[in-house]
Amino acid sequence: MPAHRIDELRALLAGTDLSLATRRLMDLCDDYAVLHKLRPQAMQLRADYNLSREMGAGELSGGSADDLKERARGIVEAIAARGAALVEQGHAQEASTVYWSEGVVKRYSSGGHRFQLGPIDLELRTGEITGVVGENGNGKTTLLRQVAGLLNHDEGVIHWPAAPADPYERRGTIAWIAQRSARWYGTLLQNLRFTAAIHGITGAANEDRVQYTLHRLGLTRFANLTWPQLSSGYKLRFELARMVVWRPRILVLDEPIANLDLQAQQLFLQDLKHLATSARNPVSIILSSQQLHEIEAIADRIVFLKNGKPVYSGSTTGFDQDRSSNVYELKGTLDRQRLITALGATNVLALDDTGIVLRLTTPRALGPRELMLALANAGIELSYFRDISTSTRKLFHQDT
Amino acid sequence: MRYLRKLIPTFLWQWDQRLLQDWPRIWATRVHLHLWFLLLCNALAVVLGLLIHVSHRKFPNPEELYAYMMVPTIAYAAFWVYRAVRFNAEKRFGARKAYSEVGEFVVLWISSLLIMTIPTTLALTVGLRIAALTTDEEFVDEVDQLGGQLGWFYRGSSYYDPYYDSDYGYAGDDDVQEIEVALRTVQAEVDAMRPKPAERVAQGAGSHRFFRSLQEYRTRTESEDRVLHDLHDEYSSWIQRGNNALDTNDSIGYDPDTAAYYFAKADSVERACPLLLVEFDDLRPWSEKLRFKPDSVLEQEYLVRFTQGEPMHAEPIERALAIANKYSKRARLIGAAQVADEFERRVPSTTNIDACVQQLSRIAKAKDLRYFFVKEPGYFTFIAIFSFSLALLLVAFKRIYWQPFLIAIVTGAVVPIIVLIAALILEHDVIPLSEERIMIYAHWLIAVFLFAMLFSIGSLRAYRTNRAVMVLLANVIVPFFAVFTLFILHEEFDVFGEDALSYTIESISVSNVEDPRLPALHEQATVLRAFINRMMLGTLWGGIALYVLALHPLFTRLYARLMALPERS
Repeated sequence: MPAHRIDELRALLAGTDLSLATRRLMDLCDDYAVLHKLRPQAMQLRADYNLSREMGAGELSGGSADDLKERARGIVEAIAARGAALVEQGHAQEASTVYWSEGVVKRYSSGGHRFQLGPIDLELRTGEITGVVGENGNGKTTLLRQVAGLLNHDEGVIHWPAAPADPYERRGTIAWIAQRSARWYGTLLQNLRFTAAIHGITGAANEDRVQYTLHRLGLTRFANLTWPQLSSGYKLRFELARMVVWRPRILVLDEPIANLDLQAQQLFLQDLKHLATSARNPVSIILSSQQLHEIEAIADRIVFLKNGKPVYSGSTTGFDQDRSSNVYELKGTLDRQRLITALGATNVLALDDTGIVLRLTTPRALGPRELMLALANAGIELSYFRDISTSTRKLFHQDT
Repeated sequence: MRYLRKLIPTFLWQWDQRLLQDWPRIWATRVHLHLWFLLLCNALAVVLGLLIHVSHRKFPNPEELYAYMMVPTIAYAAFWVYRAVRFNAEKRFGARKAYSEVGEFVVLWISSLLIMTIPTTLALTVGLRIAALTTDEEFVDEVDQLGGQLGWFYRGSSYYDPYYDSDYGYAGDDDVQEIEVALRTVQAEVDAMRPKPAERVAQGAGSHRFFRSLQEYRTRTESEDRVLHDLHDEYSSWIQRGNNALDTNDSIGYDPDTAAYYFAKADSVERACPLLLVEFDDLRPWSEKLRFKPDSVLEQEYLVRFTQGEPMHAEPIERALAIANKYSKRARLIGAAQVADEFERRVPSTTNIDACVQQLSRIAKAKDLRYFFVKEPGYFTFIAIFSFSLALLLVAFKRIYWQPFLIAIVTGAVVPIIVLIAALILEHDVIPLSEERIMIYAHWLIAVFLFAMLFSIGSLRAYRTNRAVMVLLANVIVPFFAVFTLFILHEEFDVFGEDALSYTIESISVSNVEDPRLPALHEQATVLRAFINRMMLGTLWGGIALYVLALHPLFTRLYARLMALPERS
């Protein structure tokens, strides 16, 4: 029994994030066929939540929130009552490789300017999120277009092991969301139904799938709106809905959160994480972004591109584990002299002022706890602090 | 759009949802909404057709209505195309099924074909109302009665029609009185200023001809030039010479005695020769259905009355005038006595009886409209092929990027011009063929080249715009390629033996026109021509059927593959 998921739901319902609670409840009911009777209730709960919440307003509170929570608790306890059946009839799938490439190179030459992406080795697996980061013009979009099958390569080998050999059939398993989505016609609902239907989801299954997607992604209130009536944030959510409604194996997103506010970014990335780790239909997600910290928070793997070369390609948690120094970003009432005084000259290996923050490099032995203590003891007040020792962010400032 | 949505009934929205979820490709064609709006448009056209004023004397021309209605029809067609290309299964890499693609194409073809019902319905409604103004029997009887009396009217262009203005056509009823009064006044002033004319006027004012005998009249068709011109020129010449001899301004030529001599000669022609020319054709509206008395019968009836010296009967004359006036207000009811007087004086009739001709022929045409769908297979073949081509282009546009589509359109327009220029430069001198043949062979070879290029699509690793253009051009050509090839085989290589047969017939005819083999050979040539036409038509429709059922899914796959291939940069 996925006790941790039920515990997660109980904890969420005890807190204030009703949005996440209703979404996770839907996910759970969708992941296990044995919960098919509770699935409509979970969908309806989420739909009611979406309809109750005013656009742009904060989380629900008061009587309506209590009522929804009560209903959610009822569903959660009903799930918990089914116990071991969930384990036996669960749909959890083994992670599988859906894309891998070896030594892939793409060359561009125009107007005297030459650019080469790669060689790159990359593997994408279901249930994982891969973040592609790097400065502008370093080949992120090129790499993503290659993964999506939109762009040919000059050297190397690319395989989509789980996809059909026919290019058209293969494209039918890969969802691509461009940085600027193209205009679509008709209502959101029509588009979702059409997209699901042309991918073979017809009849009652079509309606179920479309409604599930609408409610799950918080689009209930927008079902009958058209392109010009949606904000750019909701256009992106619609694009995501249109892609996930037919359950692709690979989801490729180019700078998806660039135009979203902080809350929308968080919501969107949460959804991506839940989508990737779905027990029933795990998806491999690869996305590019400049919001490094947000991406690192959800990505399992990171590819850092610099001048077209993968400076780092590996797990997010494994980055620079054998480093000899730590790197911190600081901001507050401090300057070089005060820092050296507080930490000692031997602990300040490098100090760069980026204009916005100070980037401090220390020996590895000086961990964040020790650093904070030392600064506090020296009476230095910090308004910003971030440990980027194991973040690819520090690669932005390294010459390679 | 919101207002249009209100016109859609609830049940259609239910169908819409069902089609969307179960048959997305058919839904994307919007055929259900298209049929509904076509129904509304046609109903509107019928109502409009019923509201338009139609009377014996005045009604609109159905063909003009058809032409006017083409404007809203084209607007509707543009709107339909806009709606039909919005949702696209291929560009979203949806599941493909050959039968579903065929179904989609057929639906689009029929949809575009049905758009043409909009102008047809209005024209047909008005046409049928015009046709129903008079029963067929009554109409035929009226035309025959009118035609039967035409011999008593000297008709011709020399009669001055006070109703007619060369700049503005015929005046309306309200204008007639005023114009007539004004004309009379002006004429009186002119006459007062002019010295009294001494000139003699040719009888009938040129609206009729003199014949030496009835026999000569009967054979006028074959010997018109000799008989008519000889006698009529002779008569005119006497009149002209007499008038010249009476010209007081010509002091040398003036000679009243000579003038009297010339006029006596003219008198002899007038006395000796019957004044006859009956042309019924103008009042015989062309119709496939209506069985009017043929001209020969009407003439025979008239001649019998004329030769027997039978006097003019007032009643049929009055009836003929009434019939003419029924169909045109310009036909004047001057009465049988005046008609008789004008006939005796041998002057053009002032009844303006021809004024109803146009109206009669338009009514006959409207009566034929009832058989329009049977009568005009050529029109429907054209419409069917036109709508097929439209559907073909539409489907191609839906399944490929717009850029190669536009390039293909431009290429399709430019290549024939280039081929023509090349043919004009190269004909005879460089290539020992005429310009037409070079063009035909060049186009055929280009088509074969395009088909050959299709085989390379399977091995492409990346999308190529030029290949997409070639696929598009090949797609447009392929349904008609078989009939084009057959045409070349027939015209250039005489595969049916038509030229050989013609040559044989010609050879035999040259040596002996009465050769007994000729009738059978002519019959064989007729049968062969019909066979060739059937073969051509069969090949054309066979090519189209083959395209719809087999080649269209094939081309769809080629487009799909091209669209799915990665770009090169």
